[in-house]
Amino acid sequence: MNSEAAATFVRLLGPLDPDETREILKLAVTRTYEPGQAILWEGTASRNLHLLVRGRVRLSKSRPDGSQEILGFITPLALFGHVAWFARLSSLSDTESPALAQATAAAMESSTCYGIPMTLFSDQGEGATGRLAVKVREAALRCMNQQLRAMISRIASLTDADELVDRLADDLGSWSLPEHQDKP
Amino acid sequence: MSLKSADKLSHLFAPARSLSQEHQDIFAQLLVRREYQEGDLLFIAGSVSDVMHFIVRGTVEVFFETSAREVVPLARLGPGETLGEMGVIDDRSRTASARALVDVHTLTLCQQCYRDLAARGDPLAVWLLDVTANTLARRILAMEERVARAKADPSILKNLPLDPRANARRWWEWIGFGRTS
Repeated sequence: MNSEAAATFVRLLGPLDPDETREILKLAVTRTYEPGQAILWEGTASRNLHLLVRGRVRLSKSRPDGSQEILGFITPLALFGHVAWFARLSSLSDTESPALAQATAAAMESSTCYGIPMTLFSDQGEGATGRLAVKVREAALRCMNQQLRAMISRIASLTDADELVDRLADDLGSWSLPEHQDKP
Repeated sequence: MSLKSADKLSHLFAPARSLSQEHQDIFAQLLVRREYQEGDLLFIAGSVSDVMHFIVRGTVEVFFETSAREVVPLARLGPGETLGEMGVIDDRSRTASARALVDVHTLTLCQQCYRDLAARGDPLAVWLLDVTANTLARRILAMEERVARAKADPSILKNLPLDPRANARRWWEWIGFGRTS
């Protein structure tokens, strides 16, 4: 982990004090995936939140016949792997059991991700880790809200049912933080 | 007006049951009760996001107006749900408007209170974020599931009007963005 990673986390999380910077660099793990390599498998335990920093990732779900339905594509600097974790918080007190990935995420080209363990979300302290838990949650919320806001714009402008479904699929996957609007 | 000490937060807002009594008591002191009559606007699109609402009683409709002045309902929210939280968390102006469909009671948390909690990593800030994230995440998963099924079987869409604007309610319900009736 280096200054590039620190700068990336500041872009994602906002200003970080030295303790928070040290903590996130200690927690996050850098992984590079080759084209076609799976980062997450649908139905398996999702123990990390992923930040895509380079490359492109495809999200897909299994059809009943076993083939894959493409949901969309992820571009830098977007988060993924967090939606299932937040969705299963039915009691809002269960932060221990792993969430199951709702889709398969696979690299379309050589891709680099920073993996942040979900155990960060279990920390209820008020120190650097606790403050980081808040900031990472806020970033995940921004990401999800960005997806939904793109849906609002899309729904209001489309008139064709088939086009709507395809465009919705694009929107579900092709998102990044508001300041990065790269489209596939 | 603030909550009375006798008011149990968990009785007023069900998701608060996951908080310890100590945290409920602390949180209750930060909240202000607001009441709206049928037809009152809670906020309008473009305005400053100064508070987030926790709905205690009644039904609130979230909507936006198109450039052609068509009102597009987005969701109907009721007791136990939150409203307006993203503007407070993200310091953005309101992206939609909200009005009371019947007499509505909410509890509000001001933006500065949230920021103070978040700045120190308070468990209450974590809980607030999880409540909001849970709603958004379930909505996204519902939409992904529907879109995947519709792509596999376009006949699913045959009962929906071709123009989403023609019957926005039915589209929003299908998309799973929220109850609209």
